[in-house]
Amino acid sequence: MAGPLAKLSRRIVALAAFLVPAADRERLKQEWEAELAHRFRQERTTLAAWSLLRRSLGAIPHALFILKEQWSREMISQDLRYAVRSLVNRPLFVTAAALTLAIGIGANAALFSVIDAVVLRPLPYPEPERLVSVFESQDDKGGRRDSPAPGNVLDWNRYSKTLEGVAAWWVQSTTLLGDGFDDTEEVPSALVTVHFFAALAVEPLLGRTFTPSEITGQAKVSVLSYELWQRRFGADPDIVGKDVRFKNASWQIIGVMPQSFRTPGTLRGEVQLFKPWDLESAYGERPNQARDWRFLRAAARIAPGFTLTEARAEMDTIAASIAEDHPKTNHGWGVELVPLKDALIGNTKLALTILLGAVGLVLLLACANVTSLLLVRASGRSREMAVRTALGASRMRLVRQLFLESFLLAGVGGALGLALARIGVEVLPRFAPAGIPRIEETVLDTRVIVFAVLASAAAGILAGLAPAFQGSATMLSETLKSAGGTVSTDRRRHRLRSLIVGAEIAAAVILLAGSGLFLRSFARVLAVDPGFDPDNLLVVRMRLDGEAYGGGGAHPYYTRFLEEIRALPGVVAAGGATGLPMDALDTDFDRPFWRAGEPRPEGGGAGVQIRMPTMGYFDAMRIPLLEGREVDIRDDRSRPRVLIVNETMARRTWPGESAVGKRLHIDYQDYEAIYDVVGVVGDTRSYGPKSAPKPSVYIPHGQNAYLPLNIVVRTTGDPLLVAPLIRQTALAIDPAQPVHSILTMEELMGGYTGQDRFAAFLMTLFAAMALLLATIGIYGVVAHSVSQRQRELGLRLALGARSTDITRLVLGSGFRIAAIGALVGLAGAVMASRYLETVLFGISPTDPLTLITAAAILMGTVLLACYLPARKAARLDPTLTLRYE
Amino acid sequence: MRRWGQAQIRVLESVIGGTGYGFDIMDTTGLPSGSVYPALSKLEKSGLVRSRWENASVARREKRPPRRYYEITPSGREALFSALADARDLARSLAKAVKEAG
Repeated sequence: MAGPLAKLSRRIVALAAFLVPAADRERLKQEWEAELAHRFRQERTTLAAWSLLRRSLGAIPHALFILKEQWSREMISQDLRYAVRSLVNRPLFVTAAALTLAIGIGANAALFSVIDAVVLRPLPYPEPERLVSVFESQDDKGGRRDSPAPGNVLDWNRYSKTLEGVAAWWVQSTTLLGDGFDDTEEVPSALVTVHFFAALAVEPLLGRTFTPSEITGQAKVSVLSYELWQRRFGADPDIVGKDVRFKNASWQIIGVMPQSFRTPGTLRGEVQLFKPWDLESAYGERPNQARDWRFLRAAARIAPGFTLTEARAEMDTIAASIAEDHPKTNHGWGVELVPLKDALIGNTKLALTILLGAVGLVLLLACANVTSLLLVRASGRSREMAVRTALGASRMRLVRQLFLESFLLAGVGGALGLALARIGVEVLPRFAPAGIPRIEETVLDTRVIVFAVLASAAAGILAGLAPAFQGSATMLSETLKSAGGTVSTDRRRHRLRSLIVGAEIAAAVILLAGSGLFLRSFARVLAVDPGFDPDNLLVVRMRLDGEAYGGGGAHPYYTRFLEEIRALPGVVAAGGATGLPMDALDTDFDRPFWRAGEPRPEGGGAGVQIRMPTMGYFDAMRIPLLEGREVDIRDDRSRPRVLIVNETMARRTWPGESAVGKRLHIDYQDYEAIYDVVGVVGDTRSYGPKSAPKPSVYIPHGQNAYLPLNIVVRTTGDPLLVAPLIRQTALAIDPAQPVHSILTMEELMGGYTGQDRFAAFLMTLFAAMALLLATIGIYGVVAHSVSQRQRELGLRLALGARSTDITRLVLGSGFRIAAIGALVGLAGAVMASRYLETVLFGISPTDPLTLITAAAILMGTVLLACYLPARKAARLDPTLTLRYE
Repeated sequence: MRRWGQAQIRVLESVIGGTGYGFDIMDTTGLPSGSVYPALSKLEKSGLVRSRWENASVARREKRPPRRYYEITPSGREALFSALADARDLARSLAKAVKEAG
């Protein structure tokens, strides 16, 4: 028994000895080891042996004590000074290493700031985790979320105990009148129900919000957004009690919301004015419309003491009983509660997380390159380390010294990185598409700085780990005798560097593959035929004031406005529709339909999308007319209702037959009215390029005029050149009715393609960084190995090797590393592919062509990088290298 | 006045009678090895004990490894006495306090 225990106790003493400086090591060993061995020999009982073993543990506190003395004596500051001095002496090395880390840390910090703003930070409401978005969903629609209908919202509020109150709102547009001509403007405003401010629980900055009696009484009072108060009312501190002037009335201002307040689902400051809205009085007398006009935005706060699951269960029960009471409108409809944050962020979170993973890999690559640099440096310093060891420095001391150096590098890199991130934080949101919620809140704040500091510390440890332990491992006598580094440690270092570079290449292949996939996915998105010609198309959004143009004024106004636009120079065609394809601004709605002579389906069945085009709309959009006729000047209220259907609608409703001449019921105007189909037009992508065309019908604007209209203007040249003329035309017709906004069709489509563009852009940027870093990495390893092997290569040349053999030899060494790295990278890309599945469009995440191209690009670049040292090796002069010692 | 650790006082006490080596001191004081050696190092650093390695031939003759012997220095003796005096004072005042408290 004593034998193994004695051995164990020797181990413990050896460990203690390892901790202390070499100068003290022998004495410590002597004091402990010999005496212990002596006593172990004397002791016969196991018990005594155990107590000896326990005593040998005392060597560790002894060693730690000696170490502590040493550290406090020599002071960290001395090491620090030494580290600073040794770095300052090598400005080129420091610049290379610090810049490499700066790029990695900067890119990470910038992207983190975006993710922090969009995903991590809580929503700007108290107890945001209790807020849910409320949707209606139809079972047979595969759970597609629909907006709730007013009558259902009223019932939910009546019966629900788990929700504190379902708030509903509707974003519209209001014309504010000024004293003069210029300050008349259209602002986005929201009609809000009694629970709106209560559910969001944000206190006003000034004044108060609506009281229940103001809501039910439809009082003429309003609450301003911070932006409107600042901009239009000059931040007047006494604004409460003053009036805001609309077309035909003056409303009293009762409050101002704080700057941080936002209406869910809108950008900050987008909704500028809030008006009270009573669903009961607005829809109480229209029971049918109240239940299946599904158009509201709704949110609620889960009551204290209830969970989301309980609320969902209760709402399911309530929805079921509503469906039972009102089968015509609610059969098959349920309620869906989605945590507000999830509803707002949606798919963005996954895409951003993938990007964060990608940029994390870039930082790892940067660390790997710095490690590689440090390892090269270590082989040049092995004499220095040996001398320091001989003079009594402990291994710990050298490790500490080397770590201090890598930490210093990481510190400088982190500081530079933050400066880069500062730029990134400004630039990234500008590149970002409009679809990313909350991105305008991106700031470089303490959280980002803390992240950057942590990233730098991690980088310092990561980059310094291998060099610190490799660099401090010295073979004393060997190193001191030989001129340069020793052969065996150098070989070990070279192997380690090759391993690191191989890993870098694997990571670079993964990123290149990711970038290739995102780019091809984006190309597929762009290649989708939208069903119309988007070039040279201007979009003019109009929202006529209801007071002035309600009751039949809208159609004459738009007819005249369009005629005047068509007469403008540079305009080829113009028309308008209530909703445009590829428009992320979702103004559409679906209504139940059925063929003439058939019964109405229960619960509405699958709906059809309805849009109201004016004359000339299909022509201006270049949506092909396949059959029958277009919207006509005769299509007004005095004539029978007509419809133009799209191809999908025609095919699905009357398969194998011509749709023209058929009749269709739509539960829309005058409940269950019947329409004659007069034409069939081509499909368009209503909900962006990623979703297939859906059945749509077009009702002529003249038969069902709408106040808001999206006018499309086809121009001969740059469409934006016409924009000022159109604004003037509108004001010339009615000075109190300005244009809401003007944008190009390209910009409008960006709402759908922007996220793909952003992801592809960032992924490619990161992949390029990775490629660059990996290339530098492999170049460094191969070049260093050539300079180390000069004698050997010279000898080969002297013995008759041709320079092509040498080139091949050097290229081969780089190629081997790269090939293995690329294979591992491909395997990694395949493994990571399942995370990409949902964010890619029209391409498999394991698309072989993309993966092989990524590997090929990398191999090509690597060979180019290796060619430089290979050529240098081939041109070595054997006589010189052999003579040199 | 420097603060005294229990271990240091007892280690000093154990070497006052003459000299001792590490394991010997553990045996006489019964202190764990983890406190004896740091205490010895600390005492040596502040000059209260000094150490010397014994002659190798003596060790060979006794068939054991050479030992590092520690002995008390004059200032160590002084420090120990004053520490013990402090301890006595403390004990006396404590006793008095206990008596007064009843």
